[in-house]
Amino acid sequence: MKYKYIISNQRPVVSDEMGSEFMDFASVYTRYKTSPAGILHSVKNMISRWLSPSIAIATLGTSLYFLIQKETEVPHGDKPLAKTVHSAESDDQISSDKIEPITDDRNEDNDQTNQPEQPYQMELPGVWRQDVSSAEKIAKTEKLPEKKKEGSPDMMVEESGYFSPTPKDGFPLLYKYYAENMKYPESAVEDSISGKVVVMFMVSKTGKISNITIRQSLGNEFDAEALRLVHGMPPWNPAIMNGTPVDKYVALPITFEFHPSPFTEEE
Amino acid sequence: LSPTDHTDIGEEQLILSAQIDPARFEPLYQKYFRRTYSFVLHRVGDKETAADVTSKVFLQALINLKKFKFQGLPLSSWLFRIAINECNGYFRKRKAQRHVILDDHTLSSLFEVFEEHDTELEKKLRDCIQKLDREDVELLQLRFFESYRFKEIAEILDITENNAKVKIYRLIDKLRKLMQS
Repeated sequence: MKYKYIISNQRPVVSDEMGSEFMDFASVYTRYKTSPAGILHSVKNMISRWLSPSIAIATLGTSLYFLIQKETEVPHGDKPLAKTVHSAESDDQISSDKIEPITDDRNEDNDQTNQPEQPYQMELPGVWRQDVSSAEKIAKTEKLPEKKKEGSPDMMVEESGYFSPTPKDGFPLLYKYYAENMKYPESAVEDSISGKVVVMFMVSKTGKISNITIRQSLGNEFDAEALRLVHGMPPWNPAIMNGTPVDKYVALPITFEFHPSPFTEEE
Repeated sequence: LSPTDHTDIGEEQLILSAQIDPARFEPLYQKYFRRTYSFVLHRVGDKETAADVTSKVFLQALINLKKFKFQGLPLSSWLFRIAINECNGYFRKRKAQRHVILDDHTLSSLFEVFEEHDTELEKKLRDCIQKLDREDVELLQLRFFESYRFKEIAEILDITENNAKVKIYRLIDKLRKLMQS
């Protein structure tokens, strides 16, 4: 009969000497060091000690290099094709309704026609400010395409190397400026007027803002507030045509929104 | 060689530092070498083979040390789990026979369970053990020869404590039936 197990009735005694005779941590450790797991561990150690700081420095260096390169490239105006097509399209659109000179007389006509379109039921003075973030969001989505509009017909956008005027700090900060500084006219709170004032102005070669006009009015108070905002806004970069700055008109919509506060809505 | 040792407070620290730098495993190696060596020796029955298998156990321990989570039980339970696996690997590879030790201590603790003691029974028991499968013999060894607590057995076999209890009661039942037949 073949036994599965060898059954012994004596417990083998492990003496202290026997224990130390076979004890050899160094060899176990060497085997571990040469095993895949050990190699991986030491590689990881090396990475955390030496490689990651050097990678960080290299990344920083490369990004700085590209940043500097990009800055020097901009004035030379190797601009992407897609951008020309886009601005050419928007320019066509505008040229038709842009031929007439814009005067302040028009605003007065609009004053009456653009009175409250969507009056809200709740009227609480000052609550509109709570919706600054949503106003900002709407402003972003609505304004971006219109940003590209150009006023002066002598601008030939088909030519290579054209860049529209941009706020120095970028559009998000400009909208933030609007959202933070906009004062909803007190007198309009009762009527809870919401709407858009389109302001047009010229960004000169030097980046100065001039010829500010109202293109679409929403009443005198709103127009005045819009003009005040535009007067005080952060500086702009001039439009660049083939590397040289040029005068350029910009139409900028400013959205006034009146929202009842969520608190009153619940009740 | 008490299996019910209390874990040193410093052991957790040692394990944590060894997880960062495996070279710091040495104090743990020195602490547990003899116990692990004996554990293996009781199963493989040969001193040289036991030393070989034990070094493999510690190698595996070093490789897997990162996965070890300190749960209050001594590191030995975890080392013995690796030891059982390494022994199984050895038996499979060499087609070697397992050693089961049925010394007086084991017999007396078994007879305590069966509440009888005579030489006839001892003979019967030896035959019955031959009919058991590997897992049952493992449990028998852990519980009656090495006298581990259920909690430790559970940790070594990577099962729950309740499951360990159930398994051992079933094993006793099985042995009793085998011995009666």
